[in-house]
Parts: sequence; C-alpha cells; structure tokens
Amino acid sequence: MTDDPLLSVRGLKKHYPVTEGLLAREVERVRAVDGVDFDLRPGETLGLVGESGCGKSTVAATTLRLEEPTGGEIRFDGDDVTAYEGDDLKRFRRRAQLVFQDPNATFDPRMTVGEAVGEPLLIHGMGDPDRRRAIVEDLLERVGLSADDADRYPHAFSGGQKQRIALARSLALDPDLLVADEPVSGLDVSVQASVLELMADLQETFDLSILFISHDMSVVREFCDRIAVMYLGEIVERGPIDAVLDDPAHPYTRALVEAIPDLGTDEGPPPEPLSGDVPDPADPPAGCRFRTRCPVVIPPEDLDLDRETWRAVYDLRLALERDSLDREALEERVGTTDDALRDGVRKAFDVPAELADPVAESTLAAALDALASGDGDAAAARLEGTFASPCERHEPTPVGVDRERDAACLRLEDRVDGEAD
Amino acid sequence: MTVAPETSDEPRFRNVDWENETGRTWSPSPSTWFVLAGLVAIGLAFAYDYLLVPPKQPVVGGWEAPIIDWLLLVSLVLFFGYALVPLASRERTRRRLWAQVRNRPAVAASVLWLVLVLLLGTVGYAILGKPTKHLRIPYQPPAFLAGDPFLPGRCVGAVVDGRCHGTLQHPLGTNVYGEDIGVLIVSGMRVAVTLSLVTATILVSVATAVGTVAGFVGGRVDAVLTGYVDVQRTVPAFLVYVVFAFVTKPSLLVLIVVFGFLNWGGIAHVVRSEVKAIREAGYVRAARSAGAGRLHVLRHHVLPNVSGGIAVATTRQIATLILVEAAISYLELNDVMVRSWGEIAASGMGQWFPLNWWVVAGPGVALVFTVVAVSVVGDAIRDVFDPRGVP
Amino acid sequence: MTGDALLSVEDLTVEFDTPGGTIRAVEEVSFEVGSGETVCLVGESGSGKTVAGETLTRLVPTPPGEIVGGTVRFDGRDLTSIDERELRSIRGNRIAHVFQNPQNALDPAYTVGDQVAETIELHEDAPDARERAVELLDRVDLPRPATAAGKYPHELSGGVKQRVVIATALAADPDLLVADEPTTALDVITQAQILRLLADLQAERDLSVLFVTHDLGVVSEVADRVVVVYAGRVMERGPTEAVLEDPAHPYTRALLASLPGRGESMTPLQGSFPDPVDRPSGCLFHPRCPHAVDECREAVPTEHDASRYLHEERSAACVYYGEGYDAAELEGDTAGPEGDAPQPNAAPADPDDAVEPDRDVPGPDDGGGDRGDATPEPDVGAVDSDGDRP
Repeated sequence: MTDDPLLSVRGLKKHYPVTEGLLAREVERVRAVDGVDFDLRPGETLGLVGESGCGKSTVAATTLRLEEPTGGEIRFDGDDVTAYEGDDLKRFRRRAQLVFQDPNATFDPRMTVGEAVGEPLLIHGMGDPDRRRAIVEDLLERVGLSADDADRYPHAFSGGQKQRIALARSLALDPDLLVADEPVSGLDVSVQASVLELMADLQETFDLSILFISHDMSVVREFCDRIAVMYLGEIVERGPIDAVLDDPAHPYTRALVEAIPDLGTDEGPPPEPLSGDVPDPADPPAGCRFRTRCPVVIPPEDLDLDRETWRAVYDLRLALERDSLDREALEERVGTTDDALRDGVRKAFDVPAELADPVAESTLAAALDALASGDGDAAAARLEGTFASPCERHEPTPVGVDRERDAACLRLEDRVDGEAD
Repeated sequence: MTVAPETSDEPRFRNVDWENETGRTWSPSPSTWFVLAGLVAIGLAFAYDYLLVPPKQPVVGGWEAPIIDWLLLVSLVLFFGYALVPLASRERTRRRLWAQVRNRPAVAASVLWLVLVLLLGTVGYAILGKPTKHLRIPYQPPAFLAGDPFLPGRCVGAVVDGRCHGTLQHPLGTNVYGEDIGVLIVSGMRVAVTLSLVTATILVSVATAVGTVAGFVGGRVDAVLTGYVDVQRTVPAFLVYVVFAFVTKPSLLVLIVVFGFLNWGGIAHVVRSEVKAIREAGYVRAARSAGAGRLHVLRHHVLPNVSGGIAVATTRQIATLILVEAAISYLELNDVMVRSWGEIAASGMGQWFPLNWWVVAGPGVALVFTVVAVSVVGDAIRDVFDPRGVP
Repeated sequence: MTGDALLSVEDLTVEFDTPGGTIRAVEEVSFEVGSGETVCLVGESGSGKTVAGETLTRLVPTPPGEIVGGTVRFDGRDLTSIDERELRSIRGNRIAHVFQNPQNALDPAYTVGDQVAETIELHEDAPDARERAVELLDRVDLPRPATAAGKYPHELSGGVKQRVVIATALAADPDLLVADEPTTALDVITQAQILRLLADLQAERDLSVLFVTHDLGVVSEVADRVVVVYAGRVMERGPTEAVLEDPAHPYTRALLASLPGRGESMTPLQGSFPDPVDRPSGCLFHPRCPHAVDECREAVPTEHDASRYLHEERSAACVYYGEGYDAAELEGDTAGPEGDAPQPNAAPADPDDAVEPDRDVPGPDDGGGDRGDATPEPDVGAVDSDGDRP
C-alpha cells in the first residue's frame, strides 16, 4: 500500500452567486466552501466535522462532482477529477460513491429494494436482469438482510435497515472511495451502533477509504482515523482523531469539544458555551473568520486588559461596526439620558464600569459619548483605532502542531505577538 | 448483524469487468410493446381505408370511419397501454387499487359504472348501432310507468284511463322520434367515451411534455413556458368553441381539439411542480451519484412518480368537459347528429316537457353518474399512487 | 418524593387505534416531577416518551388516541378527567410545552413578537403584552430583541427560533415546562447555549422541567432524575448520575454500551424494536436481553427496588432485582460504561466527590483515589483532561 493519498483536495472553492434582476446581476456571493485542503489515504477514514452551514456537505457534493466546484483541484488516484468528462466521469462515478443522511428519502418509493440496489448496475450497462439480481441478493446478504428482501418496498423497512440497503447500493459498483454524509444521524442511538459496526466491517473487508461527514463528534471519534474541522467554509484544524479531540489546538475545535454534553458526571458544571451565531457565509469576517466569537482572540500588543474584558470590549466594537446595537431596546430599558445609555451599553456587553488600562478607558468613554449623542459611526471609528486585533489583519494559514497535525490559528504563528497560550 | 463471511471466492460484485459492460439492451416495458402493436395495427387499417376504400364508403359493417373514430382508436390503445396496464402489472399498485375498491363503496360503484360506460360505449355501440326511429310511437313512457294523457302518438302498451303504459319493449321509454331511450343512452356513452379519451390523450401528452421540460430544465426555459401557460390559461375554451361553432359548423371534433389544446395548462402546472420536487429528491441524487444521466432519471424516476398528480388533474378536466358538452348541447351549439346525453336531454326539453320527463331523466342520470364517477376514481387513483398511504 | 410533587403521573396508559391494529404507545407509566426539579424521560423511537409528554395536557388527538388508564395529578387535580375549559386554563399558564421542531411550532404568517404576545393575551388581560413580549425575547438572549420581534419565523435561524419558542412557552409564567427534544435539531454549540439558557431560566423562575429526549449526554447535563422508557413501559428510574454511571436495567446497560466514541469497544444492541402492534409477551425487552430467563417471557416484571445504598431512590423493572435473583449476574456480558465491571459493593459515590478535578493519570505508586477504587479510570469523555481552563 503506497503512502500516496487516494483523494487529494487543494484549494477547493464553491461559491453560490445570488443574482437579481433579468440580467442576473450578482449582488452577493455565498462562499459555502472557500479554500479547503485535505488528503485521504487508501484504507483510511477521514472525518469532516463542523456545524450546519459550515460547508461540509458542499465539500462532499463538489468532491464527487455532483456540483461543479468554483475553483481548486481535486485529485483522485493521481488524476484531476475536475477535468473529467463523459466516459472518464462515468468511470469516476463507479469508483467513488455517496451514502446519504436521510434513509427515508434515498429510495424511490415506486421501486423495490432490489431494483434500487441494482440501479447502479443498470446505469453502467449491465442489461441482464438475472445477473443484476444475483449481485443484488449477494449484497443484501452481506449487509445483514436476506435475499428475499429484494422484492419488498422501502417503506417496509426500518430506518436502520434502510441505511444498510443504502450501503449495499453504494457497494454495487465496487468503489474505492465512499463519501458518507451524516450516515447515522437520522437513526436511533441503539441502531447507530450496529450500522457503524457494519460500515467498519465493510471497510475492512472491501478495502474502502471513507470520507465521513458528521456533526456528531462522538460518532466521528468512534469511527474515524483522522479528523478535519470546518468553520465557515474553511478547515481550521486537521490531525489524528484522538490527538485533536483530546487536546484541540484551534479555539473553535476546543469550543466544539467543550460543548459536547458529556456522560461523565464528575467534571463539574459544563463550561460556558460559545456565544452568538455563525456569521453569514456571504459576508465572512475579514482576517480570521472565527474572531467574532473566539474566546481567545488576540488583543493589540499594547493593551493591558484581562481576557474576558478584552473579549467583551471587542464584542462591543463589533456590534457598533455592524450597527447591530439595538439602541431602541436599550433606551427602553435604561432610559434615554446619556449617562444611562453609556452605563447601559457597558452592562449589556459585560464591560466593567471602568477599564484597567487608562488609554483604553479614555477611548471607550469617548466612543460612548459619541454614541450617546447619536453618532454611531464616530463611536465605531474611535474604537477601531485602539481595539484592533491582529486577527483582523491577517488570515491564518495552517501551521504544523506536530508531524501529523496542523491548525490555522494566528496564535500558533510565531510572527504574531500575543498572549502565550 | 455483521457482514456474512466470504463463502468461497470473491464476492460477485467484484467480478464485474465494467469496461466491457455495454449491454444496454433496449428493454421496453410491456406497456410500450402493447402500444406499439396497437398503433401498428391501427396504422395498417388506416392505410387500408385511405388507399383502398373509396371515400364515404363504410370500411367494415356500417362503419364509415370518420377521423374522430380513428382518434378514438388511438386513444383507446394509449389508454390501455399507458394507464391501465401499468396499474395492473405492478403487484403493489394492484393491491392498493383493490384495497380502495374494497374499502370504499363509492369507488367500487364508480369503477363499475365507468367500466360499463367504456364497454357499452365501444363494443355495445358497435353491436347495437345507431338508434332506429319509430315515428309512430313517440313518447312511450318507461316500463311500469304511465304517461300523461296529453302526449301524442300511439301506445305500444296498454292504455288505461287514457294513459299509455310503458312496456319492456322500451324499458326506458322513447323520445319524440320513437327512438329507444336505452339505445340513445348507449349512443351517449359512445360520445362520452370519445370525448373523454381523445381529449385526455391530448391533454396528458401536451401537459406532460411541457410540464416535464419546464420542471426538469428550469431556468429561462421554465420561465418562458410558465409565462406562456399562464397566458393560455386565461383563454376560455368554451368561448373559443362557440366562435368556431359560428364560423364553421359545430362538431365534436372541434370541441375536442379546442379543449384539448387550450385546457392543458392546469395539468402542466401540476406536472411541473411534481417534477421540480422529484428532481430534488434523495433518490434522484442517489441515482445521479451512481452515474445516471438525465434520460435515465426521467424515465425511471420522474415519469413514474408524476402519474398520480396527472390522474387527478386530468380526471377533473374530463368531468368538467362532459358537463360543458351538455351545456353546449342545451344551447344548441352542438352538432345535432352527435347523440350525446346533453343533446338527448336538450331535445326533450321542448314543448312537451315535463310530461316527457324520462327523455331528460334517462341521459341526465347517466350524465351525473359519469361526472361523479370520474371524479371519485380520479381521487382514488391519486390515493393509490400516494407514497404516504398505508400499503 | 411523594405527595408534594408538582406533577404526579400514575399508571398512565395511552392507546392508538390504527388501521393495522391497536397500539399501546404508553403502558402503566408513572413518574413525578417535584418543584424546581428537572426530570428526564429517556427513550428511543417507539418508547412512547413523546406521547407521554403530550398526554399530560391532553394534546394527543383523541381519535385515534385514547387515555385508557391512569391519572395525571397536577396541583391537586386529575388532568385526565377535568373538563376542556379548565384544561385550557392550565395549558400555557401552568404547564407549557416546547416542541422539537421550532419551525412547526411557529406560525409563518405572524411575526415572532405577535406570537409571544398572543400567549400572554390568552391568559390575561394585558395591554402591555407587546412590551412584555420584547422583554421575554431579550431574556432568552435574542440579539436586538425589539427588531427581532418584528421578524417572521423564516427570517430567523434554527437556534433563534428555538429561543422564540422558549420565550412563548414562558410567556404566561408556567410552573412546569415540558420540553420534547428541544435541542435535537440544533448544532452542538447552539444546543449548549440553549441548555445553558434553560438552566438559567429555571433557576430564576423556580421552574420545573420535564425533559423528553433520546440524547443521554443531554440527560447527564440537565437532569436531576431520569426515567428510562422502552416500547411504552418504564424500565428504570433513579438519580441521573447513578443511572448513567451504574445502570441497573439490562436495557440501560446495553444502551450505554452502544454509545459511540466512549473509548471502549462499542457494543451494538442485538435485535430490533418490537412491532408496536405485536409486542412480546412478558418483559418487552426480553427478546433482546442477553440475560433473559423463562420468567421474563411469562410475566411483565414489576419495578423492584434497585438502590445500591441507603436513601438512593432507584428501581428497575427486571426480575434480577426481585426475590431469588442476583443482580450481580447482569455484570457479565455487556460492559458497563466504565469499561470494567464496577464492583457492586464499592463504597457509595459521595456526590461531593464528583466535583474533584484531580484527574491526572496516576503512576504505579499512586494509591487508590478518594473513592477506594483500584485505579481511577482515565477520562474517556471529550473534555480536556485537566480541569483547568487553558
């Protein structure tokens, strides 16, 4: 077995333009996948995790060319998949298959299970129904069902059984690569285990490489060798599964891991979850995309504040910049006097009544004055000077944490000064 | 449940040499065979009539074979091939259809009635032929009933107190020309069958083609087609027919053509939305990821899954059309040689009405039964095809 | 906990009349929720947990559903038998529901603010309902609540919608919140935020919560006590920590053993869920239980006391906890959640010890930990192994 990766993706991009008007003028561009690199070695399972909207399903679809990538390179067994046409593409489809999330939607209700599992064979030219039938029956038995089930309809089976049938269908063409998009997410807890066990057996018996996409970290931990974590269209960390989950290098990975409700009851109260929502993929933050929520966003060099206060002030600044401060509600709550407003804003963002750093305090006070007198823009501009984070100016690139791992965080890069982690 | 241990050699699916699999044998379904055979037969008969039989001469028996009859034959073949055969050939559909009939008396009665209409309207009519006039016995009342003394004409049955009694010779009575009402109803069945099947064929063909293209291709093509359909739907077929009826002469064929080519918009709409939904369905994605091309998806996934919607929408149009034809007959805008139920009933609403009520009631009841039956069966078919239903 | 419980469900049985036959969705289920407490109903598909939650205020449509037995005592009244008008005054006002899919709970035709205000106005004459709605939206941590109040559901994300649903549920200041899988459709970080929010709200308002879920991780985080249901019957009940660390019933044990990502071998459950129309005789779990004996097939087991020590209130519906059987036999096949079989006679876990952050992997000289166990188990959870913040 060579060490060359079976699947090698570099700089993969998939953007969805949003158009308006008859002439389809582009008004914005949803950057679902915005520069993704990863390798999948033969026989390996790579887990791709992230929250919904991070682009992982889009990565699956684009890698298999079910959607056309906007940019980047996808190499399968050495060849560039993006250039495939016609017969080459068909050949690729035989070697790379997709298993979906929703077992209920993945089968045509009008076709029997046997017809569904045999459909890939028919598509690729096996015209003889008896041969197809023989293969189908064999496959059904290998996934734990019986040959007679081929004549039954999908609705007669449970969710777990349907997912087994889906696995049987995906094997029909003897693929090398399986892309599994949330294959057990729709199943009951006790059923997940048996389907995962089946997938592991099939992988070993038939020498499959699997790209496993999921939002469920426990499932990924159980099943995958390596993991790649996605946030807002980019990969933020990559490495062997246990290493990454036990000791995350990137703050987002850490937040994800901390948010998982843990069965162990002796760790005390769960840590404070990340605040806010994922930003709009059509308008991602400049520099590091995670900075708007990062608990350890790097403060400017000369600022002397503790971490929580710095984060609070930074949030305040971001809110002013994006004009998302709800002035009306605030006024209703605290009153319309300038003093009340200034104090109210501080309280709303958990900023102390006076900052420890005098320079910071005077800037903040001035900004709040500007806000109180109605000039939000000036307020934002004032804050921008003193409270500018390096995370805005530089885009992080992956930095090796050790031989097998990397993470894209400015804290890991020597050239940026910041608090040592 | 784990993977079954490898028995002897490599699993079957690994033994396939895909580069050499070209076996794309063209395997048409039984429906298509039937339809092809039928169309070939009709084609031959038509050629015979066109080339060998002098004009205005009957082809066989008393049948003169006007265009409309050829159209009826073609429609019958298509109906059997693409509607009835698929319903019967799949075991699951058969079972569900039977469940509908068994559990819902309204469905059972409707199916029975429509089968009766179909048989009598085709075979029955061929046997009975056109109703014969007996001008001396107009307005015979139905069997076991007595007619009003004022009605003219001789009486076939007994006369009691000046009232003519009906006989079993004309169980449903006769009309002003002495034509048997029962035979007239069968004529009406013939018209109804022709009207329904031929129009339905046109509607379904055009609507499916347009709706599928619009839903499947999307984009500009969809926008243009939908725009056209929206405009077409504002054109009232009824009025267009009336105009034609005045400009040329009224005819059943004109009615069929006008309705068929102007009223498919609603059905196309239904097809389009269903096609759009199916295009996004999980099983279509699965087929595409396995390498399926558009044609495969269309043939194997899209068309089989839109049939339910088409059935309902089309039966609704047909039910309306039958009533519209009756209205046209009442307004005397129809071809009086075409003995539809509407025509028969309308002819009975002259000076002698309501004394000759059976002339109106007979075809009227048949009309009502048929319209209701068509709607009920349409809904039942939709339920059969609805994947959410209990099997 | 007796008598003083806020909600007391006893022997509740609910049936459904379907074309395929009569289904017993809930069978003789009993549980209690005390004031300020969080109780979890845990189960998988077909366990009846959702139906049980909805039956409390008779939300289940009565054909085809039917309450055929049992009582639901709330505030001195039996909710299964009071009249519709009285019931409506309880719904929302005293007992509120949060459902799984926020999009289904919100009407797309009305703004979010209107819907929260509607709940307020249903139960009292409130000219300031609109303002109070905005306050509530603020309390559930919606950014820019005044603006959000004017938005329609489809303009908001899943996490935000669920917060709105919670706000609606709290609008009439209920005593009991019945939450059915409120975070299942959400991402893990959003879920953590919502759970944190619920915990805060609960503490603030002295709210009791009945949490219906299948997610054992969520259970461990929010519940004081847990009731495990399978195929409509209660299998086990007890304090959360005890049940999750040291499960008594074979189903609970097997369920915990089948959870992925826990470091030891994941052992799937054998067999499949029972057919709702044709259920097994006797113990509903026996066809899948590695320890089943004849008696399991013959009679439905009663809930026996399964406490490991004094003052623990635990029970399991399994013959092995009854007369003549030894529960230690259950330790055999399926691994408990801690890997090796826990010694049933170990010193009782003192709740205070649970907070001990001392989790360094011991060297060979390290004596036993505080609990007298032989070796502290390495932490297989996904949280940082040292309790400190980085």
